Amino acid sequence: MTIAYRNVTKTFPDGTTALNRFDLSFEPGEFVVLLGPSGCGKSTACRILAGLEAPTSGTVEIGGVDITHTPPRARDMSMVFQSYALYPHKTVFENIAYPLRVRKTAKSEIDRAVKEMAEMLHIDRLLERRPRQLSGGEAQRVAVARALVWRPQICLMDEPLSNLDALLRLKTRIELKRIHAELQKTFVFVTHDQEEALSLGTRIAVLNRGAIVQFATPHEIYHQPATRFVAEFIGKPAANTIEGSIDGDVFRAGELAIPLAGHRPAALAAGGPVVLGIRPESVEVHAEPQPGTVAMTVQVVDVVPPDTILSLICGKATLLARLQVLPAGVRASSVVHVRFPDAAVVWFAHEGGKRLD
Amino acid sequence: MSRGWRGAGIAVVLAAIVIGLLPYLWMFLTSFKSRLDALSDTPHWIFSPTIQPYSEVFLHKEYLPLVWNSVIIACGSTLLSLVLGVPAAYAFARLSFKRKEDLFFFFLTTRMAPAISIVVPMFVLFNRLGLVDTRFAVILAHSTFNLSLVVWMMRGFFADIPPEIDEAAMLDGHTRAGAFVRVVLPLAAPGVAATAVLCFILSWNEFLYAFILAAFESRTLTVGIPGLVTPHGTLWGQVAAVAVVATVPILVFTALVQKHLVRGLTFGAVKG
Repeated sequence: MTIAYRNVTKTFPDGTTALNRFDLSFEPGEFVVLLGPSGCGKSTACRILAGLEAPTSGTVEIGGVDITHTPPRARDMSMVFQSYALYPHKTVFENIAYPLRVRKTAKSEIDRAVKEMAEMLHIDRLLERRPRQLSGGEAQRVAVARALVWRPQICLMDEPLSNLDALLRLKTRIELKRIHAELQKTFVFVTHDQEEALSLGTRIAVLNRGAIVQFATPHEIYHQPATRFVAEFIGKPAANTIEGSIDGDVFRAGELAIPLAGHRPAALAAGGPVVLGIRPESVEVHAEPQPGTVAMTVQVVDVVPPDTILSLICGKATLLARLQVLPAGVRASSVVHVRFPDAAVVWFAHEGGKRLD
Repeated sequence: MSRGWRGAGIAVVLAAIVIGLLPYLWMFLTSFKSRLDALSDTPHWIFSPTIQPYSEVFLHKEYLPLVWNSVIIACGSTLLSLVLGVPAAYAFARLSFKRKEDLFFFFLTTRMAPAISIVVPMFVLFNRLGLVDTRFAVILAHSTFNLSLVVWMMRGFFADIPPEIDEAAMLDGHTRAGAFVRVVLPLAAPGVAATAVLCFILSWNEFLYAFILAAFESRTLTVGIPGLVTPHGTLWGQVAAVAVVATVPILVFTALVQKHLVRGLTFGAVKG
């Protein structure tokens, strides 16, 4: 029962293209995260899967069956909206029970299912309340309960955590992981928060300008970004990228010259312009010069307990380094010696930004 | 300073209330006056009240059926306009289709032509159809202006309900129509009530269409009033009695939905 977008394009009447030849397929039981900056088409992709939007061209399939024009009610899917969209005139109990009522489930079964779901989400004491008497976190739980109470095959979530404060977001994230493990249904989760994506997804689809840039496990997305865009989008702070060129055994970006010791992509054997990528936590910073290090100046020391983030500069090239231990004596405007560990460096093509292996 | 302004404001409001209510009060008193008291040169505040004008006009002159005509026509026109206009307003609020705003504006333009310019062709049309002097003719005529009011007002009320509510209902198992009827419409009920009251009042008060299209059997209360202007003089007591009865439903309905009425009207004005 593979769920698949096939060559989906969506152009809105105002001329904006939200999805451009969008291809994605995944298996039941996955927790798929659609991740991307605002306007990348992730919400549109979600709404097309739900049947709330029709694609301009292309198809959506489940288990090989074309459901592009199947109405939402017949898709065996539910959705949690960013605004929760609870029915304001119904109690919490009736909100959760509603999909069962519409589907004409027996009364006793409704009672049982709603209570079970409410307990699972710890909202069983709120059942008699109305949505306006709920806090944001409570309303969010009710929305999740309503989406899952009838056990649809797929549950879509369109930025469901964006309206919660940071602490609650973290808690709810963990809850969602637990619920996904417990119910073993397919979750499709839309977010612009890369940390949320890394934490929740079994696989993450990174979107940019209406197309998939990379679809892979969080580990792969983090450590082997397919393009410069992914590298610059993922991480906290995101990966450093430095434009420069390879000249013999040295990578040069203005005054910055990094000696290259080991492996380098075949495409770069002859040198030429390239983009170097490295994660801030992979950058090694020393107080004294060592073999293979380059000198850089500290601009800002940003303490983010337990770590310290250094902004480094050399000529026009800037670099962020995330350190667990700050070398003694390093402060703003001191000169430090930076190593780019070979295994941590990734290369991207200067044109198009594809990763070079 | 601010206290002074406040005092001035209260004075203006009081003046407006007095100016607005005095005619009503006078009409109310007149409806209980005998013919002599009503026609007296010096206005009497104190007189011996009588219900004679009421019994005279509603029982002897048989104006009671006119109340019934008015009720049926006002209710009929309100119902017809809501049945057609509410789904149309929902479509305007939710769907996107070609030339939507032009069509929406068209509904407004139906109110721009003066009634007098439409009523004669309408009479000719209804005459051919054999509908002259039927309640149905007046219901249709009144719906021409009530329909645009419904579409215009209800769009604002529907726009106020987040579209995610409809979408949630559709994922919960409803068709688009089911989501509209079962979920959105109950949420818009205050708006529907306010719109209905306004339609009712407009139809209830309307004179020209009703007078031209149904001047005899099916005439409404408002059309009945000129019948009390006789060659022997105007029967002021009876005119007042009819007017008092005609005011009652409007007062009741307006009081019921007052809050939503104000909101609905400002929607039309602000959001358009």
